[in-house]
Amino acid sequence: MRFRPVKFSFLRKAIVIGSRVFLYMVVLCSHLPSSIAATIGDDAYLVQLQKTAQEKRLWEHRQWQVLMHYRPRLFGRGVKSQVDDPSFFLSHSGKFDPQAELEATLSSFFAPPVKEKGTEHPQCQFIARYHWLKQELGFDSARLPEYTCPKFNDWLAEMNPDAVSLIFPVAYLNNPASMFGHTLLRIDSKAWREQTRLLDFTINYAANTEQERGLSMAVNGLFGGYRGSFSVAPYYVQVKRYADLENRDIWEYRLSLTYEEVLRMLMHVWELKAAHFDYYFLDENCSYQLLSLLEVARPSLHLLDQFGLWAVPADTVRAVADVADLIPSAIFRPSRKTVLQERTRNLSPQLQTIAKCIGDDQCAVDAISQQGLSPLDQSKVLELAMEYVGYEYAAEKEDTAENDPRLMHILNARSKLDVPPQTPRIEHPPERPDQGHPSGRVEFSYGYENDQHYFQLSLRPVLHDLIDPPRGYIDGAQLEFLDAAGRYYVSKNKLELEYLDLVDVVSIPTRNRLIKPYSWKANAGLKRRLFDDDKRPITGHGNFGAGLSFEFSQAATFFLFAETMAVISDRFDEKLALGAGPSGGVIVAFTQNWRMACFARLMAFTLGSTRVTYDLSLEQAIDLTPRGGLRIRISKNQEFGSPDISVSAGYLIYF
Amino acid sequence: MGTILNSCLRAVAVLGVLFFLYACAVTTEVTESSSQTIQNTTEASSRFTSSTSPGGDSASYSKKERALAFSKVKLERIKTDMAVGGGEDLTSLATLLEVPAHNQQEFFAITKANFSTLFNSEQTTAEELLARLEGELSANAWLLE
Repeated sequence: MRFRPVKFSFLRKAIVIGSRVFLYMVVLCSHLPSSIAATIGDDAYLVQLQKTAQEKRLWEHRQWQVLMHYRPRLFGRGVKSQVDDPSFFLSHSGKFDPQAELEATLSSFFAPPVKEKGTEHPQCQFIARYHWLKQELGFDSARLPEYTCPKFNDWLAEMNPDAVSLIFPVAYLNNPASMFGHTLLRIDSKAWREQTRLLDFTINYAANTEQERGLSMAVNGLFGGYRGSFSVAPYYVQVKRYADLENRDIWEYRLSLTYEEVLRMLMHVWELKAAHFDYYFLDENCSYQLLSLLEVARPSLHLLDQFGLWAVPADTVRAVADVADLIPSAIFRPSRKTVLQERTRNLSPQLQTIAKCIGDDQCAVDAISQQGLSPLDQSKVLELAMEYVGYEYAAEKEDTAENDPRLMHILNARSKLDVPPQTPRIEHPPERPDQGHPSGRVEFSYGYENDQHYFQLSLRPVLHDLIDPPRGYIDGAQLEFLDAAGRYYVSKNKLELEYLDLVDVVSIPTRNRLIKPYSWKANAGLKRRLFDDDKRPITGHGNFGAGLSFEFSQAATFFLFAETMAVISDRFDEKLALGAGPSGGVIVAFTQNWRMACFARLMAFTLGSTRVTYDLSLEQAIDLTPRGGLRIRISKNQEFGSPDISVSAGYLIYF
Repeated sequence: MGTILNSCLRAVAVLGVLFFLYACAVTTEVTESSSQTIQNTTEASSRFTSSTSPGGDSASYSKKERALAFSKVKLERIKTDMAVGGGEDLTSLATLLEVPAHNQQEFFAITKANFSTLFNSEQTTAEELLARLEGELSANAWLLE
């Protein structure tokens, strides 16, 4: 092959001319406004930044992964962002490709200034990404001009953050929508004191269900048919909602995040302002998404990894509390009902009766001064009456009682008494919700039933029964979901499903002179039942009951129900038997670690069967460790066969 | 038997899923239902809230406007605090009205003494209350020092 020197000479000339033109342009650019100069220098600097990012493999960095909400896909197929809004991504493949998204993000930062009102520059729109990449790559402001973000700055000034608290309104079984509790974040502002935390803002994550209910809601909720998004609201709105109207105690966990971590989290919340996620009630729910914000604040936290198929709010609080030193302190904010109960406890039955009479508007407020009561007692009675009116009003009208004439009369009388506020001081419950037992439970037991010895393994994913360790849980509330047991009969060498409770809820709030809630129970599932031929086929059942509960002492609760039950089996004429009858029982806590439940039920079937069945049971729970204990059960029942006696003992572990 | 069992399984599965999802919709249900039942809550806080929602108008609101938004939502608690002579909600309102912490006990005493004037009927609104409180603060300007 022969070279052609002429062509080389031409090429050399071209290079020289090109270099001169380039130098001329550089000189010219140095005299242009900096923004224009930057856009001209964009490409080279952008390429340089992207190359550095590649060398450092920044897309694999934990901070980038949490900022983009990337989670590993099944079977090692890379990652996928849990954000489902295309506008959150700057690359078309950004949802699945962290590198492409990072490079597109860098490119967007070179965009010219925005002119349309209300539009933000990408540096402001994705401000958390910008600041992290700036830190990692050391942006040269001469080549990549930094834009101010007035909207974000105003918003941040309004929040004026100092710290963050994790807020946990506890579960409340008498409202089906509140059964598992809820979590939100409160931004503790520098502007307020501890006494004025009501004025802080909160960050909340919720789905927009557009008031749907029933099957449609179930399907959409299960399969991510709703959009979830973050919002901000004053804390006093949340306190009114949860503590005043829904009677849910609130725990406020102050987190030990640094100012930089809080700022990073708020920058990310700003990035998410328009973004939505597909909302899954079981796993990607409110509490789960709040954990993702905490991971952005402090990427060394690995909170989401602990949750797979479901995320129960109390478990997410426990996951945060398990991080060393992340929760240095917690404050208990009693609900209206808790305050009312405490005020009631502090007064004699006679004064309670007077307060109720006034609250019910059956006694004139003025009459209190004619009772010979001291001003202090008058004040206590009027404040109890005032709390009672607020509680009753909220229960009846789901609103606060500011316009209720009864309240006005009481408050006018109270304002005339020269006695300081008699608000009771309510001690923190000894155990916080995060210090209660984990929601999962597995039990291994040995038993004897129907002349057969057996071993049984049972598993309950969530949450709590009436004699589980009560510490950290609300009194008189049972919520169990997907409790299942497999039983192995030694003599038959046979393993079979014994029961599967899809859901089993019992709510037995106790009644007193002023508070009179109703108790209720509902369960549905599968269970083996003994029939006349001594066989125990699987049957389906649904059961509902309503009743009343009373507290004998703080250690014993007695309850009575009227129940109905449907049993489904091909042993019945119409494949279905319907019955009704009374039931009752008592829950006793002998010591902090030893509890007992006695239960009796009579059920008369009329449709599909004419049997009268009964259940008698006695169950004891003895805690041996914080996460384990014994269960001993004795029961006698007669359902659709001969009477049956069962005895079992097991060891259970909470996980 | 198989058919019955399948029917049972289907029935209890649907029941269970419905029940669980209803329960699990805690945030949604609370939030959504609250927007209906706590009408005054959302109305009162809407402007205040939107001003600080991510991406909302970035205007900064005065403490007076905050005081009005707060009073609309928490009127019942403010009312009871005033009648008894103190409490968390009244402390928050006093702070928004720029009554310094060292004068707040006196502020509580004044609002208690004038309770029947500040709330001359059960229909007294947050706007009326704040207008009257402004009058009290003008008459007792030392409270703001």
